[in-house]
Amino acid sequence: MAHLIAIPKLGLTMVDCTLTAWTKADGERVEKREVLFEIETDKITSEVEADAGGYLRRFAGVDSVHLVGAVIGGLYETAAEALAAVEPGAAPVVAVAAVVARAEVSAAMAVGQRKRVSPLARRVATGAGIDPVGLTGTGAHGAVLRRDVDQAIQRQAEVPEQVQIQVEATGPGPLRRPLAGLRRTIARNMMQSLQMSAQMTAFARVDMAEVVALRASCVANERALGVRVTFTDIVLKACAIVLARMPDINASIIGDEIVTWDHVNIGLAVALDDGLIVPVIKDADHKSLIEIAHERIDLAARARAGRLGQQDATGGTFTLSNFGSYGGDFETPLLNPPQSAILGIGAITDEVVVRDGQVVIRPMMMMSMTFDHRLIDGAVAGRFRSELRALLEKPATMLAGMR
Amino acid sequence: MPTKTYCWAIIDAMREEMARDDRVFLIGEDVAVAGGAFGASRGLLDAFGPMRVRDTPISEEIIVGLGVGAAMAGRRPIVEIMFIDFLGLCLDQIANQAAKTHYIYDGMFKMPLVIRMSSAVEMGIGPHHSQAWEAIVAHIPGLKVVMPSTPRDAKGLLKSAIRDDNPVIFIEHIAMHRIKEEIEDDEDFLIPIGKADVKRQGTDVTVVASGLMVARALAAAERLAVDGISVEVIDPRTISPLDFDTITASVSKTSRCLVVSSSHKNFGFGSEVAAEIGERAFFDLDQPVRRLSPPFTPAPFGRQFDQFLNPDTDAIVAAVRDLMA
Amino acid sequence: MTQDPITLYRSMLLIRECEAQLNDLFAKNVFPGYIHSYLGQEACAVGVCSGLNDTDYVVSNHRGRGHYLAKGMALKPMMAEMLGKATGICGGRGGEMHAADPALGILGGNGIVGAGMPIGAGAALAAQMDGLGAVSVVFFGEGASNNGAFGETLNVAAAWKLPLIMVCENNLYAEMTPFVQTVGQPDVAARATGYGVASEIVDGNDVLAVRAAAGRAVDRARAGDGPTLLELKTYRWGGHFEGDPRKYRTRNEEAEWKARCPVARFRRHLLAEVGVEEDRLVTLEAAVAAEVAEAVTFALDSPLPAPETALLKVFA
Repeated sequence: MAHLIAIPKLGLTMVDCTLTAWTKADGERVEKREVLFEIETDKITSEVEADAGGYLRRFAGVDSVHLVGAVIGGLYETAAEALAAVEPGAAPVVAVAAVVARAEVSAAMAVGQRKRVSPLARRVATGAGIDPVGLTGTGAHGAVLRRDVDQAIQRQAEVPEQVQIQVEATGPGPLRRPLAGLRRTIARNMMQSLQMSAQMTAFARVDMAEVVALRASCVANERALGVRVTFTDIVLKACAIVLARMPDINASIIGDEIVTWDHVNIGLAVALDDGLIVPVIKDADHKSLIEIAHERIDLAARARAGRLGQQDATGGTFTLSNFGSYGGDFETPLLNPPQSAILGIGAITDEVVVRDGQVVIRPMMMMSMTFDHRLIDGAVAGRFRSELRALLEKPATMLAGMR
Repeated sequence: MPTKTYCWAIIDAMREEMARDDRVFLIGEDVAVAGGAFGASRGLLDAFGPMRVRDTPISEEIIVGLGVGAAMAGRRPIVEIMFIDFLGLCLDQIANQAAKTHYIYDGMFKMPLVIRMSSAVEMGIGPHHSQAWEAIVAHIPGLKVVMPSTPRDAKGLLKSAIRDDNPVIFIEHIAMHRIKEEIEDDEDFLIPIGKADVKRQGTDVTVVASGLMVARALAAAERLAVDGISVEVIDPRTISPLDFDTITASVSKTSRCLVVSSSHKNFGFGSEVAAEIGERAFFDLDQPVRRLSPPFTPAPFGRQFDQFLNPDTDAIVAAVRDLMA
Repeated sequence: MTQDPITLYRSMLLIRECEAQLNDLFAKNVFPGYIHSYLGQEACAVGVCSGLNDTDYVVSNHRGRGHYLAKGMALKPMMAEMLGKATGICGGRGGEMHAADPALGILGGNGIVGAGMPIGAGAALAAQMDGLGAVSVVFFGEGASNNGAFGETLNVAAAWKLPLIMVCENNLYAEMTPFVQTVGQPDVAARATGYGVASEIVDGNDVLAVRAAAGRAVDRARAGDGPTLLELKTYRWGGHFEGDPRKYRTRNEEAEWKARCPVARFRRHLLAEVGVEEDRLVTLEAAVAAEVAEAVTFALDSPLPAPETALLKVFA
């Protein structure tokens, strides 16, 4: 009796993944709890253990993309049986393999509700080779309707069309590679982000003079602190303080519910050579600047080395993106679903401003805050920016609430 | 083309068919001397005489029974039951006799009987004169049930009913008696029984509306068009046998359907349409089929109640918007 | 229309034999469904129908074989219909309460007590419009006289002077209830006056008396003088249906009425008054019994209609 190996679901938003490695060959013995394969999803590589013992037969090759629940192999009583095994047709998924790293998912997010897909949407999606359950539904109760499938088909179709035109124009042809792994995840997440929320971006200018001074004294005392504190750390800490005060921002729309998170977990966008990843600093409101700086350095290093665990990049309730580090002044960042707000910070530059009727030069920074207008009203977002600006312009007041 | 009211379209249909075929006759309460309780047989007594146009006593069972027996004896009767609310008084003759005679006797008898019944839905005349009972008769095999919503349809369908060899319940809405329409001046102008009419073409939502609701559905479609919502309005015209081919084709195109009826949802017209669409076009549906009907109550006296209970244009607009959300 | 007394007797015998042999089939459990026996009422159907033409209409009821046979329906298709066979006159779909023959003016039976009266009036209306002198006869029981259709029919027939003969076979029992318990006065014919309808009460077990009264009613109808209500006093030998335990009456009462058997009575009349030789009657009786037995065999041997034919002929 074969034990089928299926792609596990590793996080709330995981829809599919790329199978990146098998640790065993066909016919090889596998013990229960032994690492059996690796998948890349949500910008992270995860090792998956066998949830049973047996002799392996692989049905899927490395670098293939699979939906959650897809059967990729089987475990058999004997090596001979394994080698003779053929891939079951449309056999139902009988088991999901144990997961090394479990995403931190709140109880509210884990509530498993039947996904509503209209009969027409299901038929059209199936015809187009799309799993409609993976689409974001815009109908009542999140139902996936025909229009949602049509959009997905359109997204699929758009890129190849452009490529086709180039082929005709240039002759030798463009480089083609599969949309897989991290890029595939980013592509899907970015489109979903725009489709499933009503994003609005607002801007505010902040006088960073006192933060510059604070940061300078931190750097001057780097040896004593044991870590180099950055502007990002300071802004992140300020965000955490305001988020703890304003639970309306630290919240998400999930299905038909509004979920207000009980932790302030701030994701920090980290650019990689081939993409972007957002490791999360958990409970940032309860951490010191030093702790935040240490954690940031560790997470960024592991991200660039591809060594982030599933738990390092999930569970964020808010995201901070410092595009000033590559010279941006203001941008319109995209939300990281299901989060409802993201703050982008630009470069700090000396600008001419007016203070008390006098033209003066001050180190100014632009804040770009994108929020989900479904959940957060403009006034609430404005209050968040005001409080954040007040903290950044008088960072000493942060001390007042510090533990 | 001459313009006729719904009422005169009915009179014309009977006059033309009585002139065309000696076997056709008309009986009913007040149909002869009075010219019909609602004027829908004016002039027929003078044209055809008392042998073929007769006032009956207020005896609904024998009014229909006379039609059944005369039809078995080779005539083509038109009998009038003043209000469809009086159906209970003659239901045995309709359901057990007229509907089954051809079947029971293995086709030895035809039943070319037309039973005209007026519906006064929403006319505020109270619980025994305001009912939409088309679903009750539509439940009976062997009967055809037609319910025109325009003068042209009324004339063409009544003429077809008179020429049909089967019992046909012809439901006239007296609320529509005065609406006017151009009608072909042709004695052989017929509207086929069992064929729905696409009253307005559209691509986003199919609204199946019957009787009084057709005009409201068209008005709603006009309003929704302003917002870019394209509504297809289908008037089945014949309640039984219902033209599911036309309805299904439309729903397969639009993938959304609303059924608007003056009859109750419960075991009713809208339920029948919704269920059949579910069986025939499930995989074309992008939204559940919606029904708009009066609540499951009798109709009290007074138009304010009628207006409160019955679907209006606003309700249709809102339901369509809901389907498009 | 027949004047010949032997033909009348043969017609009564045919009904008697049919009912007797069908009761045997029922006892042997080879008959599907109910049998509403006509035993004891043979003089009613034969007396009335023997005065009719093929162009005259007859509307029967649930107890209809007497009417069918008296009006001339072919025996074999009638018998096969009673057993629901494909060779039946309605292809077997009508069954024990429904048979018809348009060519003979037989407009069917009915499963609904009283429903035939308005239909008979409708046929009378058609006859009146045709103006060819045809009449319409409705057979109904005294039980049906308490149905609203009875009053509606008498009234409109009188108002319009329809050529309608309303034949009430008063067999004393409305299904399983004595008729006298359900009415204030037991003569159905007495109600006719209130509607302006002519009426007669006749001994329903005397075929000649029935025939004479029906003749008068037919003459009145053909002359355009309107409807007649005939009340034929008779007795239903069997129960409402075969197997009905008949708790509503005594066996003594049944014996008294069987002693007034309409068939035996007419036989005596033929022997004593008409001077027919008994041998001739004996031969006739054997021939009729054999004819019915052959019809029963034909019906039993006939196939059932194919179930899928149920889907046919819902509409013309």
